[in-house]
Amino acid sequence: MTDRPLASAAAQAEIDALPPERKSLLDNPRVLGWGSIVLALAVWEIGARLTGVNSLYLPKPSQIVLSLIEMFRSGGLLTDLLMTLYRIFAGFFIALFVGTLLGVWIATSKRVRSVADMWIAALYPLPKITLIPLLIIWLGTGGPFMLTISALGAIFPILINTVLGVQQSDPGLVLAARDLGATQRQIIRRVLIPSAVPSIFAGMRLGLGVSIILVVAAEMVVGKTGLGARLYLAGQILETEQVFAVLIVLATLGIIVTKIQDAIDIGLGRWRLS
Amino acid sequence: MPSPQIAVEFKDVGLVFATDPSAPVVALSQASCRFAPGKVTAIIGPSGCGKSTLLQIARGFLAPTRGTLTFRDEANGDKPTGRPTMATVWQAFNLFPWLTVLENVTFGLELGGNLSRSEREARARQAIAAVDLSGFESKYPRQLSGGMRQRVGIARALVMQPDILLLDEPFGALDAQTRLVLQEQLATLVETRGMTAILITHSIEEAILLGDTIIVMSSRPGRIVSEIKVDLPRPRSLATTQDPEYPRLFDRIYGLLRDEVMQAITAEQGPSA
Repeated sequence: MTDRPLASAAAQAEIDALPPERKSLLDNPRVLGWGSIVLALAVWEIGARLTGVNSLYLPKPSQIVLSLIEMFRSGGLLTDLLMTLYRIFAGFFIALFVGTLLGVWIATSKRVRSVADMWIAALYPLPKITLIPLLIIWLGTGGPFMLTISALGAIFPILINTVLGVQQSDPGLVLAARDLGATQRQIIRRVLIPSAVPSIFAGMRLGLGVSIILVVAAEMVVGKTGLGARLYLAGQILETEQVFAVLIVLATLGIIVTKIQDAIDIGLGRWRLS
Repeated sequence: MPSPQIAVEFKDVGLVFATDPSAPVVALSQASCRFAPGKVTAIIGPSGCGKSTLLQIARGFLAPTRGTLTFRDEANGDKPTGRPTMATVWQAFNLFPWLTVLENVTFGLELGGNLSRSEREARARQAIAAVDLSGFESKYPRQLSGGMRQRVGIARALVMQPDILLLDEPFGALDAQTRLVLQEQLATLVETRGMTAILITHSIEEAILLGDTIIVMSSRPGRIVSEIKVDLPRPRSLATTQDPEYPRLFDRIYGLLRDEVMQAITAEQGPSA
């Protein structure tokens, strides 16, 4: 005999017979999201034209788009974008590797946790941006500095979420794995880490956001290349369209990164959503 | 195939949890019993009496603080032998939610690393078919009803071909109808395979339906009050409850349990109650 989780044919027929639900475009979150952006840009463009506000303070969106195209075509914006992306993600992946490994170690060893708790309590609340002067003294202003500041930004959220995720694993699952003959290493690899994936992923989201902020901030302070450096330079020479253009690139980067994370989250969490 | 010849013998086994030395908890007190090979032994008793503790000691997850646990090979003059293989079916199912039904059932086989992927899957599909879940191999536990999840739990234990099957209140989390159906299914599986099983349960009906022997335990500190043979014919099903012997057994076990449960309730309420 089999329990059937699905509706019976008769119940399905009743569901099919229901009148179709009337849906307006405003029920579509994508339309609402993108629509609000388009509307804001239109109001901005029309407002700027009607009021004749000085473009030094508030350039029109159309001017910003033209500036953006020009910067991509001849101004090396793509190179700066790629450099910033490299710095963010290289540091982020170092943080992901080290943070997950350390997090699992801390969560599974009382002694390590006793030591790590103190260090995390001391270092996590410290604004990482305040470490920039010290890191410049130690590492200079080149690649190692940028990767370090990016990794520092991401490592704490990843580490802390890994510790929490592993500690909150269902003890029943660990017992079941032991019952099926799992060794301690197999329990960590096959039970604790998969259990902690949603929490680790939440830490990755937070960490990547902090990495982006820190890398752009570091580029603004010491960088000769990268979006932060370009943003700072454009501000210094009062090229407001260029400032906005770089901000748009950063905002777009934020949207793309968030969407990719959403897609990965859905892919990894099929078992939660099904 | 599992050997049905290993008996589990508890002799004066006790367990005291002394996490707080000023208030040690006696979880089990001087339990002596023998779980016969090829038979199902049901253990019944009030909540907190140490039934699951007994099971965990048998499984090797808890070490007794007194007494001895011995495994004896009946085919070899009842001589002591090494720990037989065991697998547990849990009340809370304990399925890995990120794995499909097939992956859950092959999990234990993969850990051993002795079988090829095709062998593992073939064995898992057999076990899944034995619990009537063919066609659900690619589903995740979340997509299944409680009864189906527990059948995956049973398949996951059976696929390991254990010498001894441990059933820790396997149907405690299920509704009454699903429970009846699964009790019948498990009774059939146990009878056809002639397996050694230890069943922890709160249900007298379940103990009679599945058990060859029923051990009744006292309220905490748990000790064994009585050992009752169940001579009802097999195969057993819901129709077994119509056998004239059934109400007699039921009343006897209930009579023993009632006193123990009342004592447990009084103990929980404290001396002022």
